[in-house]
Parts: sequence; C-alpha cells; structure tokens
Amino acid sequence: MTTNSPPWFFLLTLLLLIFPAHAETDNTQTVSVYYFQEDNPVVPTGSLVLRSGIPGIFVAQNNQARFRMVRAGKTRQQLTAILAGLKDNDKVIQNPGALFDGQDIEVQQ
Amino acid sequence: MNKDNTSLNIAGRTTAYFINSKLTVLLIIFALLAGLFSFYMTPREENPQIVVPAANIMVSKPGASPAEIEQLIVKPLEAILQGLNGVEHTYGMAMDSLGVVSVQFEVGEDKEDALVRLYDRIMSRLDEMPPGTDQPLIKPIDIDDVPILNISLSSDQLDDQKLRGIANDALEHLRQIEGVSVSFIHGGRIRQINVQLNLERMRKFNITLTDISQALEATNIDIPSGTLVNGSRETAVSASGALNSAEDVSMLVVGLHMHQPVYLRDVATIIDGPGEIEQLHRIGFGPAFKGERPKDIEVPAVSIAIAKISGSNAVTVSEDVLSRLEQLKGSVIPDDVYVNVTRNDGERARDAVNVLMEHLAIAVGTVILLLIIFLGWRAAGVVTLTIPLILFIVLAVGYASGQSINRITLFALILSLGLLVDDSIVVIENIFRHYARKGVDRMQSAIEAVNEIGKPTNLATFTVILAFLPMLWVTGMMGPYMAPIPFNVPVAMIASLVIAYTVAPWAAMRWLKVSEHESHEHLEGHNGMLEKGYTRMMSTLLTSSKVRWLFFGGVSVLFLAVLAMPVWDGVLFKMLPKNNTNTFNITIDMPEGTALEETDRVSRLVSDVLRTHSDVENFETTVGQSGVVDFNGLLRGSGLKRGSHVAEVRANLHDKHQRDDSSIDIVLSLREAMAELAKKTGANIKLVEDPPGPPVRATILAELYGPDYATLHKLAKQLRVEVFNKTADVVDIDDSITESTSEYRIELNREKAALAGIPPATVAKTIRAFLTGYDVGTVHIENEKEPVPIEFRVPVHDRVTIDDLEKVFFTNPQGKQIALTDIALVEFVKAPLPIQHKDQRPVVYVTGELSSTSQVYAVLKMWQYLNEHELQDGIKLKQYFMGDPDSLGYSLRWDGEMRLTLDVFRDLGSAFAIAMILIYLVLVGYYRAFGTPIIVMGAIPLTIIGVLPGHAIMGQYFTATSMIGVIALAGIVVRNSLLLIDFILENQKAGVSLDQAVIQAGQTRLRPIMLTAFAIILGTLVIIVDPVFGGLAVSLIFGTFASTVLTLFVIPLVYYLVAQWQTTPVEQ
Repeated sequence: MTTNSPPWFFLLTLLLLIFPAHAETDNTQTVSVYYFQEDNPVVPTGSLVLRSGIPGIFVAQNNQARFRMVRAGKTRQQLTAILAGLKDNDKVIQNPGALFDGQDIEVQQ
Repeated sequence: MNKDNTSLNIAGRTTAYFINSKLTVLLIIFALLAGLFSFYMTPREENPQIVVPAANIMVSKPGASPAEIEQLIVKPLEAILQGLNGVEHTYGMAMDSLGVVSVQFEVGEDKEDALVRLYDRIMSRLDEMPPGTDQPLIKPIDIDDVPILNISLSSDQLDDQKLRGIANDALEHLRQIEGVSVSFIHGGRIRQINVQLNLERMRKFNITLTDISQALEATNIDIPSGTLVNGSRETAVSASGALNSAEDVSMLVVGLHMHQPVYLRDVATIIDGPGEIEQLHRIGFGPAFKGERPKDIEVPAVSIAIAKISGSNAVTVSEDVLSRLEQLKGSVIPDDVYVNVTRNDGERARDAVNVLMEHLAIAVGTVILLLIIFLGWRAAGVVTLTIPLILFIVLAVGYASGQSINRITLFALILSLGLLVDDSIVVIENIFRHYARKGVDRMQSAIEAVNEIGKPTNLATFTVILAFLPMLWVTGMMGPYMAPIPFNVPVAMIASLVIAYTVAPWAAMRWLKVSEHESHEHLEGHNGMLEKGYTRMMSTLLTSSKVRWLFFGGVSVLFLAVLAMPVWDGVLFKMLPKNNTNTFNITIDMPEGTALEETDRVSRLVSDVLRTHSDVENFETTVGQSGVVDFNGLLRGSGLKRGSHVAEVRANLHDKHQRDDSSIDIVLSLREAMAELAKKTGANIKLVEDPPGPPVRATILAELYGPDYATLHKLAKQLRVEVFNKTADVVDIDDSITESTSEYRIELNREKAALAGIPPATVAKTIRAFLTGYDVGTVHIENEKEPVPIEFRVPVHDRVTIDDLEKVFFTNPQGKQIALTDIALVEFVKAPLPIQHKDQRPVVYVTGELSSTSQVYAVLKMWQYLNEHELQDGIKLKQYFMGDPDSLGYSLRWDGEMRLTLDVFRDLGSAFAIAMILIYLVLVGYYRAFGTPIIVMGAIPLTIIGVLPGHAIMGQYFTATSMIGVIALAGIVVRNSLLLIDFILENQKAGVSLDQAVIQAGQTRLRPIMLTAFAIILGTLVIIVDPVFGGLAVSLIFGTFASTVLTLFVIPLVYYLVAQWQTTPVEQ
C-alpha cells in the first residue's frame, strides 16, 4: 500500500518542490556586527560601502540591514573614522558584501 | 407675426420672434456646437489659477552683521517697496552678509506689469545703496513655474550623476512637447572635474591656490582672434587653450620647482566625476506600491520636474509628456532605471473634473426624473432639452472669457442646475395651462403664456443674479478661487432666461400635448392631496387667530433657538475643511548646524514611520534642500529652503478612490509616531497637508511685534510653552527663531597680513576653497548638457577640525611661505541671529497647525487666555486680528488661516448685505412700494432655520462654501415668495377676496415651488459628501427645505395680516 500513495500526496510533494517552505527565509543573511561608540567614532574599514555613488554603511535594525549615509574621515589600521551619520550603539554590519537596504538579516552573536 | 405683438412685454416679444423662426433651430445648433467645442478645448485644472505676483530681492554686503544689514539694506528696501503700487506685504530677512526682502503683490495684479514696476523702482534707486553692497538680485516667484509633472528616475545600479545625465537626455526630448514651460532636474550631482588639493605637496612645491587658479584662468580660454584673407577667401583664426578633459586639467603646469615644471597632478588628485554630496534625493517604496521596484527600500533618484505654460491644458500636456516618456524607455532611459510618476497634476485635474462631470450628469438625471414625475414626460422632455443647451452656453461663455474647467466651475454648474430649470418650468407650465383650454391657437396662446409670466420671471431671475454678483468682490486669494461661482451662476441664469423665452416655447408649440384628462383636470384646478392639505391648514391659520399666533410664536422660538446654536457650539465654524488628497508632505528641520548625514539619518527614520501605513505607495526624500516645489510650498515659502539641516519627504498615497482612509485620517494616524520621533531626534517634524483653499504660511500664525528683538525672542518661546503647547489639538508648533549656533571666526590681523604681503582677499578665497570648494571655470566638453566646472577642494578627511586650518599657507611676493595662523586669529564665537521683518516691522512668528478641529476655536481660546493673563515676564500682549499692530509696545497679531477666515467671512457677509440691498431696491422698483418687498424678503431669514441645524445634523462645519450657499438661498427663496405675492396681487386684481386670494395663490404656486425646491435639493445632493463643497450642499438642501415649507405659510400669512391691517381703517 505504501507505493500506492493518494494523488494529493503527489501534488503536495510537487508543490513543496516548486515552492520550498524556506523560500522566504532564503534571503536572510547572517551578519556580524560592530557596536559603534561615539567616544571612539571608528568603524572597521571593511564595513564601508558605496551604493549608487553614496558612501555609507549598513546597520542592523529590527533584523533588517538598513543603509546609512556616512561621512568618513581618516583610515588608520583598518579602522575608519566616522565624522557624521552614526549614533551611539548603532550595530554596524561588518563586510556587508552585496546586502541591500531592507534585506532580512540574522545577527551573529 | 401677430399684430398685437406691440403690446407685449420683452418676454412676449422675444417669444413671438423666436417661436416660429429658423433662428431658434440655429440657436440650438450653435449652442450645441459651441458647447461641445468649449467642452473639449477649455483647459482643465484642479483649482482655479490664483495670480499672486511676488519676488525676492537679494542684496549682499559681505562682512555685515544681521543688525547692520537690517539698518542699511532691509529697512530702506522695504520702505522703497512699500510705496510701490499694488504691494500687499513685504517680508524682510536680515542675515549675516545678506539681506532678502520678499515682496508680495495684491492678488490678481498683472504679473508682468507688477514685475516691471518692481525692477523700475529698484533700478532707479540703485544710487541709494550703501557702498560695498553688490548689485541687487531680483528673483520673481512664479506660480506658473510650479511643476505639474514629476517623473522620478531611480536605480540600484547607477550612481546619481549617471541618473542625472539620463534625466537630462530625457528632458531634452520632453521639453519639445507643446505646452511644456520651465522644466528642471531635481537631485543627482552634476559632472565636474574635482581637483583634490594635497596641501602637503603644495607646500613642498611652494604652489599656492592663487598660483593654480591663475594658471588655470590664463590657460582655459578659446578666443576668436581674427581673420586672414588670401585668394579671395576669409579664414578665421582663433587662439585656443581650452581644457577639454580631466587629463588636460591634470597636465596643467602650475609652477616651477627646481627648474622643473610642476603639473597640477603633482599637487592634487584630479577626478572626473560627481562632486561632494550637498543634497540627496531618493525614492522609497511603501506597502501599497504595485509596480516594478528595486529590492532596496530606498534608492537614489533624480526627478524630472515639468511645468506647463500658463493657460495651457494640464491634462493634455501631462498626457503628451507621459506618452513621449514611454517612447524614451529602453532607448534614452535604460531598462535598469525605474521610472515612477510621482506627481501628475494633469491626471489629478482630469480625475477631479471627471468625478464632478459624473456628479453633474447624475444631478441632471435626477432633476429630469423629478420633472417627469411632476410634469409628465412631454413637458419634462421640453425642459430637459433646455438643460444641456444652457450648460453648453455657460461652458462656451467660460471658454470665451478665458476660464478653465476646474472643480469650482463644475460646482458652480451643479449649484446652478437647480436654478436654471426654473425659468423653463414656469414657461412650460403656463403654456400647458393655456393649452388645456380647448380650441386655442397654439402659437398665439404660447406667446400670451410667456407674456403673462414674463415680468415676474425676469425679476426672479435677476434677484438670483443679484444675490451672486457681489461675491465677485471677495478680496484676497479667496476671491479668484471662488470667482467661477459668481461668474458662472449669473451666466447660467441669463442663459436659462433666454432659452426659456426662445427654445422652450418653440419646442412646446411643437411637442407639448394636453391629454383629455389633463385638460379636464386643469380646468377643474390641480387639486391633489397636497393642495387639499395645504388649503385646509391655510384656512385654519387664516380663520383662527389663536392658531395663527401659536404658529408665529413657534416659528419665532425656533428661529431664536437656531440662532443660539453657534453660541453653545451646536454649529462650528471653519474657513474650509481639509480635502482628501493623494499626497502630503513631511518637512524635517534639524537644529541649525546639523551635518547632512545626520539629517539624512533622521529622514530615513521618518520614512520608516511612514512606511508603516498600508496606503503609502511611494515617497520621495530630499535632504539638504526642500523637495520639488508645489503651489503650497511656494506661497508658504518652504519651497526655497536650503542647508544641511533641512529635509523633506513627499508621501504619495494609494489612489483615494481605492482606499478606505482619507488622507486626513492617514496623517492623523501618523502624527503620534512622528511626534515621538521628533522628540527622540531633536528634529522639528511637520506633516503638511495640501490646503483645500488658498495656502497660508501656517494655519495658526502668531506674529509678535515689539521694540526689542531679543525680548520678542523670549516672548515667542514663552508663547510656545505657556499658550500653544497647552491648547488642545494644536500640533506642529514652531517658531521663526533660528537656534543660536557657534561658529569659528577667522579674524585677520590686518597689520600682520600687510607686513607679510598677503592681501585679505587671498585669505578669504583660500579658506573658502579649503572648506566649501572653489569653482575655477569649466572644462569644454562637447555634448555635455550641463556645464562641467573645475572645482578645487581639500578632501573631506583633511578638513575635520579647526586645527586642519593650520595646513593652509600663503606665499608672499618674496616666495616665503606664511601660515594662516601667522596672520590670523581663529575665534569660536556665537553666530549672530537673523532678523525678520514684516511690512517694515521687526517680527517673530510662532506657528502651529490643527490636527483635526477648526483653528477658529483654538485661536479664540488662546486670544482669551492672553487677554486675561500676562506672559512669564510680566508682559501683556496687545492683540490684533485685522488692524495694524502697535509698534511701541509688545503686540501680537493673529494671521494665517484665522485672518483668511475673518477676511472671507467679512467679504462674504458684505457681499450678502449688498445683495440684500440690491434685491430690495429692485423689488421696490417692481412693486412701487416699500413695504411689500420686506414681506417678500422675509423668506430669507427663514433659511437659517434649515441651514444651521442642517450642519449640526450632518456633523459639518459651517464653512465659506456654506456661506455661499446661504447667499444663493437668498436669491432662491426670494424668487418663491415673489411669485407667491405676485399671484396674490393678481388674484386680488381679479376681484377675489383677500383670504381666498391668499389661499388660491398658495394652491397654484405649491407645486412649482415644491418642484423648484426638489430640483435644488436633488441637484445638490450629489455633492453633499464632498469635503470642501459639502457645506454648500448642506446649506442649500436644508435651507431650501426649511424655507420652502415655511415660506408657503409665513409669507402669505404676513401679507394677509399686513393687508388686513391696512384695509381695516378704511372699512371702519
């Protein structure tokens, strides 16, 4: 009887193949963050990006990567000074790669 | 023609001429064609154009403090301008080194004429300018330049400079379309040659900025030198040194070092690309967005803003532009660029006009149905024929006089619909009455029928016209806004009169048939249930004086009770209610001195709040300046804001016909979250809705005047805290005081500089180049649509603190390097605050908006509080509404919507009073008596019994449009009572006793009066839900209902009593 499964089972398998259940979470990226401190306003240089000509960084905000335009100062030893655009305790996403504004993320603890 | 025609009145004569004339057919065809032509050709717009010529005059005097600018520039300039003819207000602003005076001419002043006068006045007095001032710059503020279309180009791939290039290419194509006027690109950076100076290397090679700019200016030229003639031919010669690329710029020799040339690239990095970001523009997408969009929530964008030529049709211009835009997609606009139309006033106008056209059609349909029920289909058919003819004539007259089809013209048409069928109904009814007699000559009796009712019909029509005409003199911006009503209604009335005397009898003679039983019924008299009931009630009122006095007592009590309604807030007043629109604005003002990046961060938080609402389709954020200006922003003056601390978010909502919440509700629902965000970020966030009528600077605008400006600042702060903050429903509270900021002031030691041989101008220029950049000419690149400047600048990371200024140096004529710090002292000081003026008086503004209620009550509450209390400092403000404030003591004038409301109600009230006087005078002329007109006009106050409770029942504010309704009602009800009195007089002349004359007149006029009333009620019912014109509908519907019912009893009764009282002594 096991070989003779009902037709709905076949359909369900097909549907699951076409629309995998984890399709929506596929875009979620795991990221590591750096906590920005106003008394030492630097970020890892690798977190700086240029998006459509605008210099910025991505911050983690409500499990989303959000773009922030920043004004970068001098770079020393892989740390770049941030002159404007960030606030204390902003979670700066390190090495954002191809993240987009509003992408779902999971912050690596 | 009949030989008796000489004895006919004008109505009879007109009918006699047209009833059997080919001209009538021609008239019908002409009206139809002219109407159809006008219908298609008249430009369409949402609201009538309001012409308010205005201009900004800017005069700079480098180095002068605001106080100095105020005394030397702003005050004299204001005095010069105030004396100019037609100037309504001047607004002055004295800032550091710059004075700006905005001049606003009176509404309706001819734009060109006003500006020529302004130029003339300023130019002829240039010699009075204090020494050291630059030539004044006069910038007209032109409403015609407000874009009607906004096309947003965005991309997640291309940078903003490339987007701007694409937008420029597209704009070149769109500009060619007929009707397109000023158009511009908003957002994106231009291409430029960035010369990033390396101060260390410059020092090493001993090259100063002056050296570089001199070398550049001397090289970058292309001058035609002359011609050579040889062999009978002329050949041009030109000397060329023009720089054509970044490469050329980098290879520029800027000096010599150790006998070797120093190239610009040796002391600077040269980059061909966008400059530093000074403003940002982007588009974001909300939950209601359905089209194709990038993955990102917000992406950089560039907007193409297109204005139309004044007088052209917004609908066709925007349609043409958009269809051309479609053609550009894929070629000029690459496929990876997202195109969104974020403002389309053409479509908005078309929608608004179409909706009202639909409403007009519904109203016409309802009125026709009513006519069929009351008059039977043949008579109704004749009247129905006249409706489109009259409407078409009105449209044609409107077109000929240069009007547009807009919301107000269509409201005027709907409003006149109930009135314009009246004349034809009266004519047809009377012809019908004549035809009911057997064996009459159809033509002759039709002429006689018209002749009979000619005089009272003329008079009744003119009273309606007289009621509306004075509204043409409403002043201020509300005047031209409402003008289509007093223009179109009288035109419709005149057209209806003409058609009633020409086309109606012509058609009646051909098609009006009287059936056997109708003829019978007519001879017997129309004695239906209604008439019987009326007769019974009227007889009781006439015979029993007790019942009569009870009735009068009842009406009087009702009247007084209704009049008391506004006192206990049973009816609330407001200028105009807010409109349900598809867009609103959010303005963000950060404290002065906030970096662009921080303003940008807050603007993103604002859009995060905005995106929470499910009806938000998209939003456009501009940081560093205000967004693409709209009519409201232009007049509020918010459209010209610049600076790293300002931002604006324009929210575009899902189409209003496809959402449940109105824009008013949406804004209300966002207010709390925005207020919280404002508190958290220190920003001033305002939600600005499009005003339903003319824009004002702020809904509540308190202008503080007084002798000492610093005290005014203190008073404004106290007013905000003690009064505005404590008044319920007042939101978006702000003042005009710029936060005090600190600045570095470089004080040049003149002696040291002179000894070092460094001219102060060189110092100023160098520091400017260091901080803001310095443009030195342009490179010459063919096919580039915008100039490509060469900009010198020090890279961002080399100018972070004031210590970085130490790197700046100069070279004296001896070749010695002098550091800036050697010849100047850097001080950290408080920046002087700007001073504002209005009409030559120093002023500080405190502003506020209302979240949902009427400002009238908030202002009255504040006014009362300030009348009873002193502010914290013990200063009692003298308050003004209309008058000029006292400049010796401290005073407050309430401007903004309050002033507009008072002005409008004052003007409409005066218009009403003038209408009353005119109607009275005409009636006196008609009746040759002073008393009878008063009885006739007694119907007017009766309308109030319906109007005020009507507003209370519908939960509507009594608005300016309600007031227009009241004025219209005066004309309508006078018509009813006029015909009643006329019939009584006719009956009396025929020898009928007074009480029978009164009863019979009521009986005969009952149906036509009710028909008119129903036509008005049903005709206007369709606009009762309109947020702006609902008030007009409420006034008309309830006012007509109440006054019709009461007029039928009160007017004949009063006439009866007066007549009885007059005859009694004679009988005795």
